[in-house]
Amino acid sequence: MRFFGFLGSNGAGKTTIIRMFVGLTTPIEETAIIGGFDIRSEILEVKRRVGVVPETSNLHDELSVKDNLLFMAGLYHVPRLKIEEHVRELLEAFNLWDRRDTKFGKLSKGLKRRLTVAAFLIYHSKIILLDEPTIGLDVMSTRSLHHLLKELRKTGVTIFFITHYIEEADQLCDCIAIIVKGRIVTVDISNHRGDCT
Amino acid sequence: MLSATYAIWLREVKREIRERGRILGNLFTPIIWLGIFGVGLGSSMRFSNVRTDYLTFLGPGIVAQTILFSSIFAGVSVIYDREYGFLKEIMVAPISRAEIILGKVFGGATASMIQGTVTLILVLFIGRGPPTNILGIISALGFMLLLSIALVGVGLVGASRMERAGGFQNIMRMLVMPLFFISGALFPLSKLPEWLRILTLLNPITYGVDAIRGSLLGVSIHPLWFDFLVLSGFTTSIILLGAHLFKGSEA
Repeated sequence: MRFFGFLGSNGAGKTTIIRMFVGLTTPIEETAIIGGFDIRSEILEVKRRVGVVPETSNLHDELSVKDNLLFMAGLYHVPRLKIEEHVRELLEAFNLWDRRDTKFGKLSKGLKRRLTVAAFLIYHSKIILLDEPTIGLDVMSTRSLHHLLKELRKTGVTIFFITHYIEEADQLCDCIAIIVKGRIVTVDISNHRGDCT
Repeated sequence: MLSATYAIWLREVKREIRERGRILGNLFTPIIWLGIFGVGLGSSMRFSNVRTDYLTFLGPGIVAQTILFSSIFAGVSVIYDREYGFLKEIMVAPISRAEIILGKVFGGATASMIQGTVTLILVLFIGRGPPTNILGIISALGFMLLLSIALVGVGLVGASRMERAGGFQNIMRMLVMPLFFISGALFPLSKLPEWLRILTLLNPITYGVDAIRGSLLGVSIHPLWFDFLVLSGFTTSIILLGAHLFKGSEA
């Protein structure tokens, strides 16, 4: 299963789940295994494999597109010799190479979101958690992001996609879970694609 | 480990350098103190227990003041980072809290040192005391760095549990002014009443001012090695406390 949709109304607990997956919130009880590692006892290993694209783009307005990726590469210990080459590959893949010297703050909302997704791929993460990534985007930017995520899925990256638009989840995801008041009430195959294992 | 600390350091420095308004404000303040307070007060009074003229005596104190103000307010970056979600970006990375703290501390200290060094150059030009040799300047720069690391640490401790930048700035302002006034930056500490003398001895800034003055003018209350020991102990403790509090802080 590669594209997992997580649906729920506002306040259902979707963002809290993501915060738990990356160590920002500690679960009171129980645990989760991500990429074979326990989020309670092996959180650094989990973080090495997971990228989180938050609801609002949190890259740095005052840094250029390229400098933002270089900053992320530093945070994730990308080997120094490979950084420049990898940044170029990534920016070309996301159609942002021409904007490499533009300040992040000057980009449109759609491009900001696109760069935020790119930033979390700088260290080849195998799992990406996206927290309502299309909120506030116009139709064209939303389509562009959807296309990008579908392409990403083909490369073998597992996508955990949080949304409260059921049509969007149905269109993109292999499997959908619905959360209500902090509890998963149903898990189902979407559009007869994939499976929920 | 170094790459993450370096990335955070570099970003802090770039951001601080772009804050031109704040840098100009921080550089303007010492000019006011030296030009108006130093010249004005120095022209009509002289301390019997100070060998140099007042302006020369005041110079190292104003260098320490520049470090104090620019370092302690560097902590506000943590609050802004939290407010705009940048802290989350850093905290979800596979790096330890120690790396984050070190990057933040060295970033804030570097920006503070740039401002402190500009003030130091100003002080070296206007001072009329004994000429400072190169070793004295290197020693002063070393103590300035130690003081700035300690004070950025104080700022981070304050910021680790606060949510609003305004509240942090008000509390730090309340803390900074008394610390500055009782540090020996403005007047000699040797003839103070006992209760005030005890307060000055409890103030870590006192040792920074004393060490910078001792390095530049050769006049200090404590030996430089003693100032170094006290400042190093304080710096280590505050960084450890900052790292501990940061562990429990919310992103």
